[in-house]
Amino acid sequence: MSGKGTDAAEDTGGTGSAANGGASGIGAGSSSSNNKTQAPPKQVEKIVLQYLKSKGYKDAEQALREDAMLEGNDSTLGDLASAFPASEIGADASVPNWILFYNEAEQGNPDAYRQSYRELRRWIDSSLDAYKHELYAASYPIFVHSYLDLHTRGLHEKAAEFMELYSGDHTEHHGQDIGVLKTLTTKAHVEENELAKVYRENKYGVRMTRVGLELLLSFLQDHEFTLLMRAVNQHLNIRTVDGAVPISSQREADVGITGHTQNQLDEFNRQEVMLGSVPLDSYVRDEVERTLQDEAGRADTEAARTEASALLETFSRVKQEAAASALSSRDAVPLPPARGPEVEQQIADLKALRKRVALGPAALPSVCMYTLHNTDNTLNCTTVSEDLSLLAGGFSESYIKLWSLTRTPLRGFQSTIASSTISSEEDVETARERTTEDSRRLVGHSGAVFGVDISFDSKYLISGSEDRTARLWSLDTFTNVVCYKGHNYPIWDVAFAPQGFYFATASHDRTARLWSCDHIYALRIFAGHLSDVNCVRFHPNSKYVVTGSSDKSVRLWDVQRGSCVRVFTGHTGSVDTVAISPDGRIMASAGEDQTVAVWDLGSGRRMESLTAHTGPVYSLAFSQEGTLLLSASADETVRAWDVKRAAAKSAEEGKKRDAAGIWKSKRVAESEALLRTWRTKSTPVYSVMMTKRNLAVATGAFAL
Amino acid sequence: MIYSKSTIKNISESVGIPRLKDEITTAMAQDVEYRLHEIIDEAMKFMRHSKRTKLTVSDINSALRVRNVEPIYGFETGRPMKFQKAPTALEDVYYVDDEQIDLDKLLDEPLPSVPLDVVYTAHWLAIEGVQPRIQQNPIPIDEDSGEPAAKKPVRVQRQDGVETIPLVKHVLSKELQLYYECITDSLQSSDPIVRSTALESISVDAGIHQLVTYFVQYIAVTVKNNLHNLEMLKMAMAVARAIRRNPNLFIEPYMHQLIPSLLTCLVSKRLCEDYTEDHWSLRDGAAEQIAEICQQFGQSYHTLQTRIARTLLRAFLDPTKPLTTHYGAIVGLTKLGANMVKVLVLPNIKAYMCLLDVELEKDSPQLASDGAHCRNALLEALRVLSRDLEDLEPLSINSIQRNRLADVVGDTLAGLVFSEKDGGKIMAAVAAVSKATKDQSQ
Repeated sequence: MSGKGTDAAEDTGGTGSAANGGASGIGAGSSSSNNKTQAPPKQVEKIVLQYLKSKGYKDAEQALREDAMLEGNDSTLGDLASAFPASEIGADASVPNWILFYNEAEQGNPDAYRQSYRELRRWIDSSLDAYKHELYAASYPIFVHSYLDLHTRGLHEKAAEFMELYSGDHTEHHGQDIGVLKTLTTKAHVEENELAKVYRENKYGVRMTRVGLELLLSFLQDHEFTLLMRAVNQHLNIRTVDGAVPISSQREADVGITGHTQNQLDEFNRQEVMLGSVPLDSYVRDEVERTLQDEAGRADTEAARTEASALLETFSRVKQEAAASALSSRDAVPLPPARGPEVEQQIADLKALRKRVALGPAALPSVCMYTLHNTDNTLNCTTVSEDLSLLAGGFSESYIKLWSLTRTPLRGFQSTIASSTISSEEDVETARERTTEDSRRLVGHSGAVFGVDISFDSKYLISGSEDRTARLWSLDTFTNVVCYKGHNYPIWDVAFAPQGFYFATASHDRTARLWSCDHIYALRIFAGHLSDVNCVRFHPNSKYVVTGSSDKSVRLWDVQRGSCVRVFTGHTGSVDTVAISPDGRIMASAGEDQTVAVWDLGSGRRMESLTAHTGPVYSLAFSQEGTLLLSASADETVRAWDVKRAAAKSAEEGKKRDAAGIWKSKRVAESEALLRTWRTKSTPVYSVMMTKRNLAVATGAFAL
Repeated sequence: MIYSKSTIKNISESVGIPRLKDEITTAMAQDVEYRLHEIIDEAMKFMRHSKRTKLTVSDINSALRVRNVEPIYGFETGRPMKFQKAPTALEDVYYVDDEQIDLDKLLDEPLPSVPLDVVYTAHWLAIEGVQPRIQQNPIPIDEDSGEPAAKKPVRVQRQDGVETIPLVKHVLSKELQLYYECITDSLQSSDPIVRSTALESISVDAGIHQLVTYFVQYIAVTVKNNLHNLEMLKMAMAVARAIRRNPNLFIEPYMHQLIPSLLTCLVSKRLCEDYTEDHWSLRDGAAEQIAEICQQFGQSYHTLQTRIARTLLRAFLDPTKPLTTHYGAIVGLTKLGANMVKVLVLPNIKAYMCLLDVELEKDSPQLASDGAHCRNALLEALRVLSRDLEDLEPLSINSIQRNRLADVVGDTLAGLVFSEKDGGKIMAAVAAVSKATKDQSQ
């Protein structure tokens, strides 16, 4: 473990002086002058000398040279002069600034920008979540001006290197500008480029809290990053605000450069995504058809026959629908060849589809609540298998507990089992344990278990833990099958892909990772979140993964390319749960800010933010048609929301509404889209899910 | 600043750095505060992922561990910390109350019981969107106002203008309210058939559990407002008996509200307009009910019977109380069983009989009648005693035995016992008990 703590110790050592430093406005002048007056007088003289020289005051220069006896320093001065063209001083640096922010060591060092920016970046990375955003937002203009400075100083290679290294930080929000700036190769370009001029000639507006600003300034001062400090002083227009700076303020008028299009996130979110469903495997399709026809042929009674033929009919309809929206098999995520379970699953799904209750605002679902008792606050997460046969819970005490919801005993295998004695299915049964217990513990982790998920066929369970490992458990033998190591910090969440085989983990190390069950290393690492990744879910077609993070944003990642294709910002607290509708078009996210946001995955826009919860939201679930959204929360309620109404309303209001204003105006009242609230008896609801038949299942731990 | 400079100085002194520069203390204080924020920020993540809304010591330790810092051992406990205040000259100092544990004693102690296993229960939170009103679901919330409806107690109007405001917050359905009104009206009807039908309904109806609290309240109010109306009091007792008899009702939680009314009907000074009225049977009935309650709930509330007995004994032994109260107390104690008679009544009979004799000498028909009832009650008490000791041989009725008996219960009562048919048995019982007590005291 690379000491995260020690990094932070170096980087933020200067927090203290910030409290006394200049608070309002930029404040750099007064506080940094303390620093600089202590500098050796010779240095100041050198600077003044250079100033005089650049202005052509020959006599004065000569006089100073004699008085201060600075002879023999010509060569140094020459270097200085060439390293910093006189034109720049005259053009845009005020003399006091120039003197105040002079650091000889930095002037001579062509890597100074890169080094100091790297330090700044690392410092921002390790700073408190509360200030991370504003610091991140402020780092963008610093980045741009560092880059432009490098060009004006003629260090073109260094500039290109700098851009190459750090442009990734800002592509989501400023992709367009970065693209343009990248093309600059000479000093002349910088002077004539429209965009560069916009940046050079206007101040870049940033909103920061008082504390955030103080942190930044004291950091820059303490490390004597005068180059960056100069950029902050010259090119930033910082407005201090009270309270937290919402992420959505990125879009407000006084942020960025007035008149310049800042909203480049939309541009980023315009990348193509394929949200279609998974194409039906031809083997599965034929097999299902064959089985159903067999069934129809074998049926003894009239009722059974009609039932089977109805299933066949449904299947052909499903096939048509799937064909209409399916991805081409070339685009789909590769899966191992289908075998028995997939066919069985498909048939079970068909039967469930026939029995599905149509839900809507007028027809609300039934909710079955499983309440866990005597947990003593040690239960961290729960999940229920899709067939409602198993309930699994992850505990702080490093174990996972399974309960059979059908009250059938959970029987593993006897330890004496030998493969040579197994020749038939009965042998397998006799080799099972004799126990009649309908609950079991899975022991293996060495830290609190924060995430559990059961595969679609209820054959495997994946768990993620504080001990940085994910483990795969067989639900046939009730043993640990694989241990996946790779994350450097606790794993917060795990999720199986809807078709099984793949799973994803979300971790404190700010990455989400994609794994397949048959590899012990991660296939993809999704890096980009600024803070912990709290939750992860697969898109129904397994092609995308959605993650929610403590940096108050949600991201959509392309599984195959491993890159981020959508960023959803607007939450005012960390995002703890996400859900995607079964048709793959709509996504909902919620978390600490007690607001449920509904997003359109295609356009990347927010459709609605739903308020009414009075506690952090723990879990979300869409009904199978995608018309209803259920949310479970720490406020001991399960609530049902009308997704259609939310969508219709947002279409009505159109684009003109102020994206930032919505959060403020709606916070007080309950959203109209709230259909129903079901309260529990002092049981925070940990998870809610919808079965294929549209039965809602909620779980929670009774807390006194 | 969370930490003042003086705190930092104190701490530095305690670790052996006597004089810390002012700038350093300031810097330290600020840095410590920032580090604390960092740790708490981290710990909050663990709290959230443990689906809790309270930060615990283990969260802080997890946060320290994740930052590669040694966790703080020894504070991990399921219970919340107790901070104690220690006032000093300058400012109050807070510290964690850490009690000393004697290891020897700890080792000798039996192992604590195994904590209960985590189990699950299932219920319907909603059926087609409607929350069923079952025990597992909370009391529904008024959807219009968003306020719990229970905050506005349902007021039940009574015919004669007495308003009952239920103490327990409930939401009553329209039907139940109608039922309640109908029953209370019928109870006051002059037609005995209507009354008995209403009582019958209370004692068998399965769906009136929500009304129990209202009936208990009704009894209490009726008793309070009709202390001299024998009919009303009898009716209230009948209602009490009816709700207790109903096998579908769970009245244990309401017992404590019911008992005061019963006690009133048992030992109150006057329960009727005219002393010739038969308030004695009311008292007998109340005593019987109290005895039944004690028997029924004695298991779960073992102090119940002793508390009632103490109250009754106090009434019995207080010479300033009227004879009617004494009567009630004697009957009440008698109904509580032979043991109560043995321990509480018998040792006091002689003294009481003296008092009674004095009262009887006053020439008043009321006193005479009351006194006779008291004497009979005492006789009944002795009879209960004798029934309890059934296997004793009845003593022959002669003057020696009579004197012995008079020693214990006084002359007057001895005379009465003598004239009874089962006098021999009673005498034997009394003799046996008083002998046992003597043996014990020796």
